[in-house]
Amino acid sequence: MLHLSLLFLVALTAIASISSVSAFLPRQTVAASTLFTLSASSSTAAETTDMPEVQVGDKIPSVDLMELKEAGGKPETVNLSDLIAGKRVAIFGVPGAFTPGCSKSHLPSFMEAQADLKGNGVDMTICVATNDAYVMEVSDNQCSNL
Amino acid sequence: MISICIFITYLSHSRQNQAWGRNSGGAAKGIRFLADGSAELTKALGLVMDTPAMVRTKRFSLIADDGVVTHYFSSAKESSDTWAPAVLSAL
Repeated sequence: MLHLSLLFLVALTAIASISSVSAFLPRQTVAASTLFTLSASSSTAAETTDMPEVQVGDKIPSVDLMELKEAGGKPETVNLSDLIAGKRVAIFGVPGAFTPGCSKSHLPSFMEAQADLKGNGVDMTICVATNDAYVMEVSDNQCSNL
Repeated sequence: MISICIFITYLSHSRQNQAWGRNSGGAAKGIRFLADGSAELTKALGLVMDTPAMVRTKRFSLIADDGVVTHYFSSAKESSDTWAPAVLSAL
């Protein structure tokens, strides 16, 4: 959110500065600079939805995720930053729960590696997914042969 | 996506992810299954995979120490680059 606010401020500043300059320019130039202002602010808006890919040294964002610990229970909000504070964790993300690549390779590899990961000081493994209708269509049995 | 949709997907997706965790046996192994139903984390990590149906997460793995990424494994070249053996070999 901080990034969004900063970019918004930058866009506002750009608009303000161009507007003040345009007050001293002939009408046609004003029209051109107005167009420029519009395109500048729209490109700024596009950048805010396209964050750079995570890299080493980045801080994991403080976002709320949902977790259901018991079947039939209520989903609980889990703040990711709170969950991993002071710990060494492995986080892996998949395009979708129950999708073939996730159920047959990525997730099982982390299941099998739990002892080795713990041996390397990894306290916790977290799987995240945005999920989708795949999970609604797949029967329980299809993932029981992992 | 409107906020009502996000709320509904949040709830349903956490149930789905939990179901996956249980049915796959991953939860029994101690893996935590968290639903990024609104894709907030996915967007913040710059890992949005836009599909006609929905926003998905590009496959990735990472190691974080006290909230800071120390190792990152992208699937840009090979999916297997993100699997646990690749992670273990880097630790």
